[in-house]
Amino acid sequence: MTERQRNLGMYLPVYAIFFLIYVIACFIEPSFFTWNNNVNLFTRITPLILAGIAQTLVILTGGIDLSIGGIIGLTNVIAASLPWVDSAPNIILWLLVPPIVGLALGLGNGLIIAKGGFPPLIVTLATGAIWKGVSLFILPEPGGAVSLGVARGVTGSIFRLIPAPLIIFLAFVLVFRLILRRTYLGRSIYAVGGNEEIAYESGISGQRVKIWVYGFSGLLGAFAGMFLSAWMYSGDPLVGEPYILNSIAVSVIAGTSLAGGRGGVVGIIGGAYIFHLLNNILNLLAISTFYQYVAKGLVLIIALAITSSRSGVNLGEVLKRYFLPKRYAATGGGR
Amino acid sequence: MEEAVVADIPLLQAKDIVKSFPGTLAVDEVDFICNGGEIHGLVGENGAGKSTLIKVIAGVHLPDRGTLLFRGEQKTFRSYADARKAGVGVVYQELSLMPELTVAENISMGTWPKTKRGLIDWDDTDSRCERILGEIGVKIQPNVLISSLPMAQRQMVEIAKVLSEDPDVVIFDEPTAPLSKDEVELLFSILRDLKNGGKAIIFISHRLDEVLEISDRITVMKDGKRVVTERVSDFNEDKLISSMVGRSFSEIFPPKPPLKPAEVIFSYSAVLKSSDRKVALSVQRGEVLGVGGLLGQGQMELLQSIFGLGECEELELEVQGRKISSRNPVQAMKAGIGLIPENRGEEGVFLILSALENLAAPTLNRRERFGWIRKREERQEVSEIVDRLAIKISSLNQPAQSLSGGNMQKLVLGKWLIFEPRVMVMLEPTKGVDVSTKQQIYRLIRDLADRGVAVILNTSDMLELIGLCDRVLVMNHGFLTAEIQREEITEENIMKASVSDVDLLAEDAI
Amino acid sequence: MSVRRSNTGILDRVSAVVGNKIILLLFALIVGLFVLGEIVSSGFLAFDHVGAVLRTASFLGIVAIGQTIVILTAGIDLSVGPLITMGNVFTCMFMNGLNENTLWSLLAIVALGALFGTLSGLGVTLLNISPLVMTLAIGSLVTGVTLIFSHGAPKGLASPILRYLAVGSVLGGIPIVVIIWIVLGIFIIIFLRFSTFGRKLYYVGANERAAFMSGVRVKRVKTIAYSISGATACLTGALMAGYTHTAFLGIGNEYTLWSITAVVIGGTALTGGKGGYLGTMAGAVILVLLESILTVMKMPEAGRRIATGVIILIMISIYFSRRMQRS
Repeated sequence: MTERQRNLGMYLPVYAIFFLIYVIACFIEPSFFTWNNNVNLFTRITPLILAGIAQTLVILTGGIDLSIGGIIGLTNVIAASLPWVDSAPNIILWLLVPPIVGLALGLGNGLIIAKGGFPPLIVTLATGAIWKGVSLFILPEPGGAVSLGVARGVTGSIFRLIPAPLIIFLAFVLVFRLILRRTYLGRSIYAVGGNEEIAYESGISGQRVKIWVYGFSGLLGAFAGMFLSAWMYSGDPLVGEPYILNSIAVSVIAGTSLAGGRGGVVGIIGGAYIFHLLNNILNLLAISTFYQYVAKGLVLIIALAITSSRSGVNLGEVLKRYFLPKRYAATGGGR
Repeated sequence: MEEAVVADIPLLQAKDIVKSFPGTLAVDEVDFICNGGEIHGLVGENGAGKSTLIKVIAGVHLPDRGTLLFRGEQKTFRSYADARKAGVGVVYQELSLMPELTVAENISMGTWPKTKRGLIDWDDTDSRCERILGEIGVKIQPNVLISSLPMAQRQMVEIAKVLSEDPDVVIFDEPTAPLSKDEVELLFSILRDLKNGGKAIIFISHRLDEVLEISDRITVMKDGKRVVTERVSDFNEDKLISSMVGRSFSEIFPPKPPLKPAEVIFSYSAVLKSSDRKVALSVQRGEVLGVGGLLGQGQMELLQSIFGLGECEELELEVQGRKISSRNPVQAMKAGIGLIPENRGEEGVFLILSALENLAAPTLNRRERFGWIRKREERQEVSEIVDRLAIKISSLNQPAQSLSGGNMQKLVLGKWLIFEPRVMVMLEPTKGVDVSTKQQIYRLIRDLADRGVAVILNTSDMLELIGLCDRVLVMNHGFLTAEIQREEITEENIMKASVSDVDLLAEDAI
Repeated sequence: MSVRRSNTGILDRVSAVVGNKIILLLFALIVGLFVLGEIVSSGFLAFDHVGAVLRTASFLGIVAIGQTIVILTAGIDLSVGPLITMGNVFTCMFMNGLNENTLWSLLAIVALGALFGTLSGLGVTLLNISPLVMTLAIGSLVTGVTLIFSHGAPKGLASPILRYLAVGSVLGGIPIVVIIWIVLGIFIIIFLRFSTFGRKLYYVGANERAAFMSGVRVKRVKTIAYSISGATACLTGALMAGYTHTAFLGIGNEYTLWSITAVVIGGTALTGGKGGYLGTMAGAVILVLLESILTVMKMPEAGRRIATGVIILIMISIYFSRRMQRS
């Protein structure tokens, strides 16, 4: 199998499922297909896509980032707590401070994990709890404010036509796709996730790669936090919590293996869509929002069952085994 | 008779190398010379020091004493990277390839060519890959994933990766283990090309026939010392073995009992998935049945299916006259079938668990009372086996991963001996095992057969087939091509059958 | 009969020593933390207070039974939080404050937990889905089920018997839950060491393929492990209902990660095959002690979280560097 075939097999199913759900949604509720609804969707999926890219990078090296919720929350709160709202300095601060904080926090994670050699699950669990605490300290209740210009800019349209969120998430996906496929850092990420020792023998420093990757995760988390602050027009210390598990789910649906060394960002858009489409459909059908949890769980299981192929056995194989006729007649004799 | 030192400066010279680890003196004042344009075979039992010696040469271990000279120039290596810079390359048994990446990417791992703008140039990487593979006469598409390549081709890629740095000294550590005879010949032609190009090749193997075939000179190591180094023409297998162990060939295998008719205690028939052909065999009381042939001709599928690991159709098994079903290991074990896997590290041993826990595994349910383990009985049965097999452990709680290869294999054997199987399937039972342990295992196998256990084994070691088995079935292309008895079991007959296309069970075969 | 000595005994002795040392370290830490607590605020070591700390630890400890078992098989269970909440909410709904409902409610709750756990297990074994994501998905499902059946507003009350079990004490101050926990704990520890199922957990965690090739029914063992985890989580939620009288949505949220932390601090490796429940019990007590000390130091909630996270990091670093030095 060539690399191209493998990659196609990785993200085509995701987009197929997304397409399927989208079409079903349009049938159920024609108003789904309106421009407004789609723009709304673009906005909703953007932070999830950002978080998904972040998590994918980390998972590719064989790690995991459970602190992304805390980082999103903290940067979100900071973004909404900056002084001089609705003035140019505020906007500049909004553009600079959260990313720097996110990057620093991410690098912190990376240093502890890479230099200390501790399991990422526990480290990011602990740091996530810490950042959550700091967020609650800065802003115990949702509040704060963001400059109007920022809010309009981030969630509005460019040239009155193209929605900004669409540009944002497309740009991020394309940039990181490029990084993963054509840069030394990107290929080193795959190498380290594949086998750190072998990578080391080829001159690739697992430590450096991991520090970068967690750094990027923090940075992307910050962008998500900033986006959320502009969209919600305020800050919420716990806004990042759902993104911890959702970002993992999106990464896995998009084809990234939790063992590391395999996966990518192309399928993330499809994966994020699948998530939010379901919520969207439920809303349109006026079904109680409680069912979204059930729906999310079921969809995740089904998507994973189809795409999960450790040691080659997955739902597809199981179905084949039971429903296709026996392949071997008794030949007994020679040819 | 010792080989005189070559007149001009040798490419690689190791002088008085001493390397010890806590508790063992692995390399004991060893001199070793390898010239450019030479294939130098290195043989010895497990623990003889060969691996350690080459690891010293490759910079993986720093010697306690002694010097390394490359073209007369002394070198100190602090890491494999240092050695690579000096022109040393090693092809290990465990390949250093990443299965999820492509051939081209693996070959240029870490040194991918860049475009002017600093991005990786994949076209250039691909052509580099094709060039290097072409130099060893191998054709594989550059963008194929390693995971979809068979073992032999992966090894070619590994060799290409090592050669891409153009080393002067290339070391091969047990390269032929996963290869079929054809693939071994391809490997050997590559080695000869490298040799003719002036490189110094060191070739380590347990397969003495191959070492004799490919080497120009052979060095035998024993207990950390270099015992003898001579031209290959001065060696034969018997002499090799006796230098390695101080015993001669005929003493390694236990004597075979006289031929006499006996009842059939095991029979098997199935249609193999890989070939769509019917295969059938039976085992008589007291006989050791061998299944041979070139690698990968269906032997594994056949033998694994006996233990419930296969997917063949129309599987029919009879143990001691009773029909049994074997759709998974649990069922197979209920019928009294046990299997020793080919790959003990992955499938046979619980590395982080203790020797006791390892040995007790297949018989856990037998010593169960209302769901609780009968600890005293467990300890007793396990201790008995440890003594019987002479497994070298300091206590039953010793973690399995701290054992040597031979002792680990004894753990695998031991746990099945406690199980007291009626049918014992063994896949490469002496792989990676030193000669004295091999001897013990052979005696054990004969003992099992004498006691009425149906022993079926698969081995790629010709010596074992000839010396150990009473009957040999040969497979090719997924079907049986020959059934060879007793005195007819010769290397020639086995080889002929291995390449034959005659299906024994075909209706129109005579 | 004798076993021959060989020079590989060094490694063996070291690992035996390390194994014991971890438990000693943990219990030393517990003692140290209690002392620290007393220094920070006198009265910390008062019988009542120690009892209260242990009571809280019991809740964590009971849900950590399941987590320990699952992690031993090299898996993980992220659905315990939602399952605790479900147990909490449904207990109040089923019992409705009446004693006669107690027994069947508890049985039903535990059965529900086992059911969802089994679903997780089946997803992991039959569909080959990674436990991390499978239990996540089931957790989401469970959250939905809880919300749907309670209409978002939990009603009902725990029965007086349950309240007594959760809040009451015997023998002059030992909380009943603590006794329940200790009894359960002793049973689990014995179970893991001496039962065949317990041994099979270790086989599966140490090398799943080798376990399969040795005749262990791997799929069955793993599925049962997740069932047990679901059951203990729901049971914990039920007991907590006795403590809080009424139900609270989201009451279990923190417990997912806390249970994992307790297991890891207790010495059980996330890669499976190594560890046990005694360490988890110590880990649970340590975590609760930390929280308690910080509360007593009057740290605001935000500060508590921060400090707890920092302390976990510090402990992990000590713990892991010792481990790494030894191996």
